Amino acid sequence: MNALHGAVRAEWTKLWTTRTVWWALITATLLMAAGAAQYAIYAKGGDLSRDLFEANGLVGPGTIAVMGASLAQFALIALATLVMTGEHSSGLIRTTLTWVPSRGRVLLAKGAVVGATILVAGILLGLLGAGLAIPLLGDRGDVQGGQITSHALAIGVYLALIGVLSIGLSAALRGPVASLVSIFVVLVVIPPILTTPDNKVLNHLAAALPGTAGDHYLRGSSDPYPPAIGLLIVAAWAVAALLAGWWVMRRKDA
Amino acid sequence: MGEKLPLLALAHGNSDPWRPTLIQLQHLTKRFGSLTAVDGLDVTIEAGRVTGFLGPNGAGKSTTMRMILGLDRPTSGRALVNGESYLSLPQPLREVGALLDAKALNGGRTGRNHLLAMAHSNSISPSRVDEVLEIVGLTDAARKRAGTYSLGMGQRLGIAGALLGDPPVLLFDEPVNGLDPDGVRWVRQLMRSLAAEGRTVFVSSHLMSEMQLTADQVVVIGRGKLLTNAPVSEVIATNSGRTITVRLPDAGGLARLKERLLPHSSRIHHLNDEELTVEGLTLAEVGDHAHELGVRLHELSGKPASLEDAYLQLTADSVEFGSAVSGGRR
Repeated sequence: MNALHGAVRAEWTKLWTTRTVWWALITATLLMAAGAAQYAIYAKGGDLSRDLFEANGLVGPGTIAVMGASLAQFALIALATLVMTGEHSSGLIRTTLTWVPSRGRVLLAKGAVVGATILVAGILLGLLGAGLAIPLLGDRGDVQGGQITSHALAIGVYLALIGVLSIGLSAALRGPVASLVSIFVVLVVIPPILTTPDNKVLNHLAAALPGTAGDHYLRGSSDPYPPAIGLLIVAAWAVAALLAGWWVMRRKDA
Repeated sequence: MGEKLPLLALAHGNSDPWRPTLIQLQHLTKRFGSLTAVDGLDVTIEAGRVTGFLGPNGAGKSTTMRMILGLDRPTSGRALVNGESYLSLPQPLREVGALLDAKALNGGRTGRNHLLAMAHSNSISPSRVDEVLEIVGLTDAARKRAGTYSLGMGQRLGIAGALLGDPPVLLFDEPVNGLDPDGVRWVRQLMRSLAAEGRTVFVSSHLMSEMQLTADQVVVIGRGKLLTNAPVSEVIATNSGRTITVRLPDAGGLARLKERLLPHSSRIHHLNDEELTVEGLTLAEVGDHAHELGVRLHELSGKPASLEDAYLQLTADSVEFGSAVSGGRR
């Protein structure tokens, strides 16, 4: 435990002593602000898909923040990916592994540090998105403090898990391009392709992917499974990616 | 930089004498596909002296060092530090300090922050970071981004990292690369004093003259195999036939002398019409032969034996020409 504590402190220091983290957070903030504002304006004009509106025809600001998060997530995915692949491209990974020879410990420490950072950033981004949406929605807005907080928390948790997934996948693939492209394809490219023909098997497959599951969780939709299952599916993907990364790191020479 | 670098105060708060710590390579082997980079090395590197690690490019030096540090997995055999695998050390920086590739860091981070992260990883006090920065003379540049460092400064940062945990074992891969003459002398003194404190110092280099001054013992490998493991003086004595240069004013005399020496000498090189190099004979013997033949000499000189000659002789058969593996594999 003591050794893991040291590894976490080292990763924390590494994360906050380069500019990458700041660029990622600024970009995520801009994407959230732009996305939330855009969607709020659409909602105000009634130009959003029906299922986003509540029974009374109003839209919760938290829902707008969730839509903004689907854009902002890419800056945070890039951060998580670069934290891991950057070590391979600079050769720093060999230095890191002489500090902490246990591959599992390095991976856990990175996951913990990036996950915690993104969790906090995600919650703040969620609050920002909802806060921006309130004035723009005007009388279309269904402002309930509790709902906004729970949406912001959910956004933080979802983004943190996707961040951990990115760390694990990057540890397995090593290259920044391969890692970013794979995550992008799994999150946003495959689900619409699978669901286009409206085939039962393909729909189920799509529902088991992390992006789709995360969407269910964030929107609190209960079809085809309850939101909590959506969260579990995303968490399972994150754990699986970490295990894959760990397996590759243990097997391959650094 | 390079002046008045304190060599003392390396130990931090630990006044116990070093327990002798060894590096043991036990039939250490590494294959990359069909290529055997390291081939059954059996070597023990002892404490209290500087052991030089020599071999041509691609001989397997860096691979061996990476296996000691647990970065590459041996195909078979083991590399042990104080009887344990590096991978099982809970706080390895307190056991082994290493400089492998000084450029293996994030150039966007300052030198001090790099060392700070390193210190945190092994629960080393942050005050030790400033101590090692002082020791290597990087205090003034510590808050600059490492990407702006010169090759020599990067090398100093790497050495600072190796010293951070005050370890009984130190590994240096080509530590004087990019250093100015002052820096080279400083590294030499540093290695000597680390060994004098009872530490195990294992250093690879391709600079034979430097190794002759720094190392007590040398391990020479070629094509991954151990060629020799012996004290420097012994390696020089047994492997460098002293080369004698003979210069004569006329080609006829030269031919006669060559014919006369041939049965006695191990090797004779006919450099040009005026010059011979002779191995396996003493200066006096060559002089006597010339006197008996009555040939006129313009020069009869012997070059002092060097580690370089010994090394070249040892590795003559194992240089990897145009090999696929050379130097550092990434």
